[in-house]
Amino acid sequence: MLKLFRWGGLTTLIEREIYRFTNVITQTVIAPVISSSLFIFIFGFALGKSIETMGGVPYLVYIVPGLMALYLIESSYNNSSSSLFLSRWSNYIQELLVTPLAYMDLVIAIIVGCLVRGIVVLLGVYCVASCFANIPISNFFLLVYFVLTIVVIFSCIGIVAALISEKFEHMAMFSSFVITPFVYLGGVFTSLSIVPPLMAKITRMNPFFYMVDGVRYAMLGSSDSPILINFTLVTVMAVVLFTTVVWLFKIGYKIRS
Amino acid sequence: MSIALSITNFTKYYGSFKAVDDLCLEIHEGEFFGFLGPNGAGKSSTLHSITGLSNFHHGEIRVFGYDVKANYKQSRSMIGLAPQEINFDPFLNAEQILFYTGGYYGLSRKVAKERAEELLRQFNLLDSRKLGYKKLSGGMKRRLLIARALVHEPKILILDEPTAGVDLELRYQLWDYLKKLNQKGVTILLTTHYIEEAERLCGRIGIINHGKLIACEEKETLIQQMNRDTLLIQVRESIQTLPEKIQKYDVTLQEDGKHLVFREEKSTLNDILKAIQSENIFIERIELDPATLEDVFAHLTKANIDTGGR
Repeated sequence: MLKLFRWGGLTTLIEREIYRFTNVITQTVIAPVISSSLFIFIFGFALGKSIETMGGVPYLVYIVPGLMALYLIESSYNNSSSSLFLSRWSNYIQELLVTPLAYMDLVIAIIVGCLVRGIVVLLGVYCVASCFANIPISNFFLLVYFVLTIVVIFSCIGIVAALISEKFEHMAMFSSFVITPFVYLGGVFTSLSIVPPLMAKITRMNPFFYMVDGVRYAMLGSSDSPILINFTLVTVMAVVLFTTVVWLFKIGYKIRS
Repeated sequence: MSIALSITNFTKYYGSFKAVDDLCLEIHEGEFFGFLGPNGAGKSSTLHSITGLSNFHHGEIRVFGYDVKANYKQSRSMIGLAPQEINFDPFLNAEQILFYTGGYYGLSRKVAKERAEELLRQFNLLDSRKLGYKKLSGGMKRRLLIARALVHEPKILILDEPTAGVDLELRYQLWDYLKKLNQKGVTILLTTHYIEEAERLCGRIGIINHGKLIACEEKETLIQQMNRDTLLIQVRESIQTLPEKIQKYDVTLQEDGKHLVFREEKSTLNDILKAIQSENIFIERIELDPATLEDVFAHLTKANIDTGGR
């Protein structure tokens, strides 16, 4: 069985990616878990007492899948964008480019690094939430699928942001003006059934909503949008973004002169 | 002897700017080859294209027969690059840098660990193994760059300004190490601005200017072809202006008026002495400096500038 994990360039690079985020674990894992605890306590436990149920479950239980999706998105985006941008910024990317590693290896290693970090953060959020309520998982395999696709989508978006950005400020702008508003307005805290029709319409145009909604379906067994639509949209987004990123690495966009 | 590196009709553009123009070059296995040129001549563009740091669309580059584009995994496995710029992983210490690099080249965990240990010892970095690269001195960083290039025991080592900014003692140590490495059979391609470095280490020299290879010969042949020595003549009485008979030569009169520096072909030396004597100038001392690689380099690159790089 161990022979399946042959030591090679790809596994080394994956190990390095994991080492990178564990080296700054306070920032990459502990901080998001603490921040999610605050959300759970304030919105779910304290404020949630005044909201009876949402989507047929207690409010605390309702927001946990949304928070898990939110932190999965943030950790995937932050991990891939900072890893690649720092590699470009410090010229360390050159060390990798002269090795026999294939461009596909570079992409896969970054995504696997994001996946590991995302799962660690996800487990942290789940454990904190479980201290306050019983959090169900309705369909484990569907949850795994959505976790995987969300990681692929946002690690690829992070890679594109890191390739486009020329300075740290660009990265921060992308995160503040694109990722954060879309995620927070993606149905993390409320069901579409209780928001005004215009707001519901706008939310349905937000692609991030379908990821949050998909995770919610996998955990609670109910969602605002049909699961087939959620499933199809995240699959298409993951395939398109992954293909784009692989192509960008193949042509050496911003990494080879 | 097999061909370690073969470059055929290689042309590299940056936008519309032609950085390298139809370069053809062959380096044989076991050679210590000096690739010289002024700043912006096309050296780094060539090295980057060999190693995979640059894309190129014209020409062909092969490393031990492997095309650097079609068979990049094989070709890159055979190359070790010590770049000019420091480009270490900011999250790793010196030992980890070597260990992980070994892994990227497919070495097993055990072998990568052993190679890292061995190289840390060889390059006198054992005491600094746990330090991040930012805490290393300039000389240590240079040594670590070369050590990293050697982790996977490459057949061809490419050194881009390996001794830039290091003190004389370390430079001599590195030269000694590189000579021994070459004697063990490792092919070395060196680019440097220290012409003395190339003269001491390299067997064959290629000079590139404005993207074109303007010379590629054995070092001795190149110097012989130069055929221009430096003749220093000290005269007794100070001279204000150069006599007409002397003006036709490549000569400089130093500020004190007593030293004439000629840079001329050996065959003209006798005529120069006659011309001086015919002007009734009394010669006190004569010094003859044979041409060096530096003279060749200066002469060729200057001539190339004079002809507009054509």
